[in-house]
Amino acid sequence: MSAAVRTTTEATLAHLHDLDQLLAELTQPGGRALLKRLGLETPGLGRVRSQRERLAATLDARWRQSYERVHARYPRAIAAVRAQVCTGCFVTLPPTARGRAGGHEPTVCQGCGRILLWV
Amino acid sequence: MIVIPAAPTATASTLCIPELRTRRRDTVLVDLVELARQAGAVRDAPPVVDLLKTRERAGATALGKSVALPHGRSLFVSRPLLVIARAPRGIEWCEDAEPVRLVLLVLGPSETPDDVWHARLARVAALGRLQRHRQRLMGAADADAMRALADEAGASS
Repeated sequence: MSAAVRTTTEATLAHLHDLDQLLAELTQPGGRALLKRLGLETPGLGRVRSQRERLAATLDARWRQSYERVHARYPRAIAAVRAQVCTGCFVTLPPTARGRAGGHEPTVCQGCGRILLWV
Repeated sequence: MIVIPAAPTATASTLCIPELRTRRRDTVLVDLVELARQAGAVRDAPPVVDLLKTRERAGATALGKSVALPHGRSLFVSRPLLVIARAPRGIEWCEDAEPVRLVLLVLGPSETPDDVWHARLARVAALGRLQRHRQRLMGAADADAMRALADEAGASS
């Protein structure tokens, strides 16, 4: 695992986020229209949903609730931090933002509430 | 161990592999993502490979005409990248499709907006589906020629 992803929780959250983004792409109108145009079908969508649920179940309850709450509000519950900027709301984060939890737990953007992934 | 089949040529947005020797889909995905990581477009390869395999489980990305379009947006991808790989011997991509001879792997950061992502996928798919592009890609002399064709077709951006 890279230095960017420091904890198992962060890695699991990031993986969950990617799966949710994939599911949205496969089910929302814009994505479905494109798939139809390309002649691509998704008979295994149920398997992806099951995988998503299995992965979510491995998360600590607190982080799972937090993730689901943010995901209900935003399509992308996790935002990568690039050059100290949250790519969800584009607020510049203070230097202390990362260290609040001692670097051992995921952090949350004080601007938008998304979970932050420091990359 | 990653076996690099040919010297990859990297630019900001396109990586071309003239000859893949691997014949299994999952191994091809592992190899191509590793090349993307070496090119600096992927921070962490395993989660991206997992995502691409999951996408294939949802439904194979074989477009027909021996072309596959694996694709994914991920937090672990730092910049957009198109990887074009030729496999003259064919790759067993899925059960009910002919072997794939041209792989167009499209990667993007998770923050890529949906409309931008869909437009990009459509452009890259056209590169593989239109006979004139496909034939020129398959016949291109080397990675530079392949990349020039992708640029010309508007698939690189």
